[in-house]
Amino acid sequence: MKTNPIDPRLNEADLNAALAPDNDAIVPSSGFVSSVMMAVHGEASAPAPIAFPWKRALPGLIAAAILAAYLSVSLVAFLRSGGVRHILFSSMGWPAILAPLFRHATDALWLTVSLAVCLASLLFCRRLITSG
Amino acid sequence: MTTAPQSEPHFTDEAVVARVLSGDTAAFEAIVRRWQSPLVNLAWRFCRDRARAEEMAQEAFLRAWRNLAQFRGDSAFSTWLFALAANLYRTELRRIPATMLSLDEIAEPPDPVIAGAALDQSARDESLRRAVLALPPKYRDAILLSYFHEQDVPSAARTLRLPEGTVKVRLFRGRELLRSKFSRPRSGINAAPGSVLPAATHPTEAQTP
Repeated sequence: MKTNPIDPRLNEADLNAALAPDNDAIVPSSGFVSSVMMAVHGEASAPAPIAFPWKRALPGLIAAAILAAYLSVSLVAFLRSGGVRHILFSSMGWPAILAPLFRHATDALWLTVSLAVCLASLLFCRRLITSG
Repeated sequence: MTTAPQSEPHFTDEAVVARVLSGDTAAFEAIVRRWQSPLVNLAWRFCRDRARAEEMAQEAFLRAWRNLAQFRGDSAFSTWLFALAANLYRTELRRIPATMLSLDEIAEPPDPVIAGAALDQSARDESLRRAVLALPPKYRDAILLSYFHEQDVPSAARTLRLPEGTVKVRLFRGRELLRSKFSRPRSGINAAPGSVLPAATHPTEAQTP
């Protein structure tokens, strides 16, 4: 079907002619294959990525899960006991909100220890990665 | 376009894949040589920038090499390769669009009545190709892949990993959008939109799976 040259409207033949593969093709540059193969060989010779040390991380993950469960249970117990209402309607303001957090020195101690363990495990992981 | 222009008669794609998977990295070159033209040209259709097309095609080959073990031979290697490449190109286009022009900003074809001259066919073709890139992605992809596969809808559907009916509907609607852009009545011409369309069914996407 020949396109009418004075018809500005697009018809099927125009579309097919414009988008036909033969009318809209380029030839890859001469160095394309070597460029791809260089990249492939580069990847092939690169060391395999370090797998995450699941075995070593497992104790930490279990401890974190237990801690999360403990905190969740504590939070639920706290909410059920009406602690939130007590804090919100307390006339003492925000110091009263923060006070329970530091009421027991042992809690603060455990918090500090857990933070220290987190920091130590982070440093240990970094050392494992950098030492290869 | 989708046939392997530089085929090596001694090794099928599947045989080369087996060699690569057994550790012969250099054997992958046969695949690159065989499929470089289709993959570069497919990328070219998506971006219309030669340098970027080659970059995207290179990335497609690299991705194919990385994921070669996932090719199970359920379909032809070319089907797997084109699907992988098309998926990559679409992702790349979402990241950096090929054109910042909207469909309304694509240059209008010259008005032959006013200009009194024949249409510049090559300029119009190029306008059309760029207009395809300005279509919504689902219509753009259907049109690009359909024409890349020489209007073989089943092949385009396999590459896009979509049902054939869906591709047909998107193809139809994409063409309609292009026609509405390139068939606007100009001064002195009362062209009813779609009046030059050949008789065609109007499939609906809702009817397709």
